[in-house]
Amino acid sequence: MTKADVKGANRVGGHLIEAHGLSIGYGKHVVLRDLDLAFPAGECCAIVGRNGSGKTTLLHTLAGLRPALQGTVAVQGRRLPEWPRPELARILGFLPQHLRIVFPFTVEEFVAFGRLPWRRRTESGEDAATMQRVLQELDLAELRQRSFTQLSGGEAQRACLAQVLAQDPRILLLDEPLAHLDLLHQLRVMRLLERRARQGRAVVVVLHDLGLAWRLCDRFLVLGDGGARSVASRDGAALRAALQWAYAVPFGYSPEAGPLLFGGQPPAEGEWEEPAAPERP
Amino acid sequence: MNRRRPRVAVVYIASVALLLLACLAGLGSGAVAVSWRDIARVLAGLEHGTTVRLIVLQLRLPRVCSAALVGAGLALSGAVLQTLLRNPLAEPFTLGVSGGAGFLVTALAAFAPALYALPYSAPLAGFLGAALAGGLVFALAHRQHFSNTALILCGVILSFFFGSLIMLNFAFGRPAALQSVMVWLMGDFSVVTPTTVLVTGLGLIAPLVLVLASAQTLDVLAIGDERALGLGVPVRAARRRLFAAAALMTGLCVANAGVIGFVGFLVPHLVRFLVGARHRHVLPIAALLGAAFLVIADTLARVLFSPLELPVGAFTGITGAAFFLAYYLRRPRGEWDTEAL
Repeated sequence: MTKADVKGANRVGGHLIEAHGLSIGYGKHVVLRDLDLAFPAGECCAIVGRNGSGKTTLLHTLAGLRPALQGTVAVQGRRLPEWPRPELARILGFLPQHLRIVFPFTVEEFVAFGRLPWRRRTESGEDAATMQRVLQELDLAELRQRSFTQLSGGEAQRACLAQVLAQDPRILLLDEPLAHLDLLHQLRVMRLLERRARQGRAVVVVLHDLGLAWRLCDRFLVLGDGGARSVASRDGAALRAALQWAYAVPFGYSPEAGPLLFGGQPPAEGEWEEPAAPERP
Repeated sequence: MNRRRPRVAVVYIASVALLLLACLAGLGSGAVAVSWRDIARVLAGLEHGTTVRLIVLQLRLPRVCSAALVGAGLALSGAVLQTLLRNPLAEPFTLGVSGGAGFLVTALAAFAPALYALPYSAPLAGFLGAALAGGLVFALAHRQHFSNTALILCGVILSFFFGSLIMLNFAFGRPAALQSVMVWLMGDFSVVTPTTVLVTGLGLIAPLVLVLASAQTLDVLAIGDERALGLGVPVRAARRRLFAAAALMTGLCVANAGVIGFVGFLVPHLVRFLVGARHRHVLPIAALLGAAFLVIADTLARVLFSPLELPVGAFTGITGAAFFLAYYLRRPRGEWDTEAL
């Protein structure tokens, strides 16, 4: 029994996915080093940070799409490389930042691919019910016969998210799921992600809008300077400090609205110096 | 916005009917016209020792079968490669496989005319050249895990490279022997024999079965490697397998009939327009329509300017270029400005 097993992945509040001594990057270039992370069931966690701080790379590594430079990632107590891919696909769903679809799949066909990991395991009735629910939730029912190549950016983004949700995984790793969405659909998606978390799933989202992230998520994983700080969303002082550290911009905090850039007021002329861009390899 | 697609069953029936009609037309037309009744009598074994039997069975049947096999093979490998490259403009020749075949055959004709004169040596050299080019693309693209860009770039590099080598063969070689090679290079069914048909047919079975059995995998690969992996598909192994199958099919087709472009581009496009993108339907219908298309093209190439025979590759090239141009001009202005390779 490993330590992770004892923690009990199935217990509500147990860690569905965790990482120990994790260093990630490309070849010799280390983006983030020596992270210890845990994402428990029932929690929504926002990953935020500047461009190039390693948000996407971290998500890729957690999803098993790229190997860690050092350290381990464990899903339900079992190290990632030991998972057979088809089995992992029933537990972990990953939404990439960009999907370029050039072939005319209909929305329904495209979303139904999310059910592939479950084929021959579930009654087809369950497949149909899941599909129905997901298409409703993401407001795609009317578009189900539309060709993917004819969708607008926001519609395509919703279809991609719908495919991941149709997979019905216990762990959701989502890279900018709100990109291209209008305000109404942003709120709708946030709500349904919150619902998924309350149902005992682990939700990890990369977001750029700190206000939305604060409303949706229980916790922030703030990336910067090759490391990460994990803070509770409602711990105003800690969150302010972490965001200031990561973005090199002064932040305020309001218990009603969350983190506020410059405390809500734009800085006066000459009051604030733009920080240097992060070093790139 | 929602264009209604015809029912899939209708497309299947129409494709089979078209292929049968094309084959009948191919067997019936030529310098000597043979009626459909006579064709039926010959195929049923009711004609003995007649000229009609000779023309249909010895001259035209191998040719029609060969065109059908090559058309099906090229259309299928086109469909598979477009999906693997996630690029609807890709087709077997994007990989430079035909260039490899052309290079080895022209080299044989230029520098070993005695060897070239032996029966089957040209198709064999064509197949080896196709395998060589396919292997090279494979090895080069492997460095980048068969990424989209890597495959296209390697294919372009090899196409240019082999194209230059072919020109060198022509420059240094003997023009007399190269006359027939020129014809082969342009795509030609006039030299097929029952043996070449049999070899092509048997060789196509394994990759055909593999590709048809991978319809679902291809569906998922079409939406991107990250999602495919996330849905439990072993992406690298699947890509490798399907790429090898497509290269083998292309190699067999080029060895049989020379360089016939655009079938692998045109047919899968038409099929996706008719039945959508699901490979469960795209693959079998592409094979049927590819076969029909090339049988029709070869028949027209034979009879249009009879007794002069056009190289069928030139014929499909012109049709394909027209289609390509129409496809290009129908895109909204600036659509590709921001699109990545």
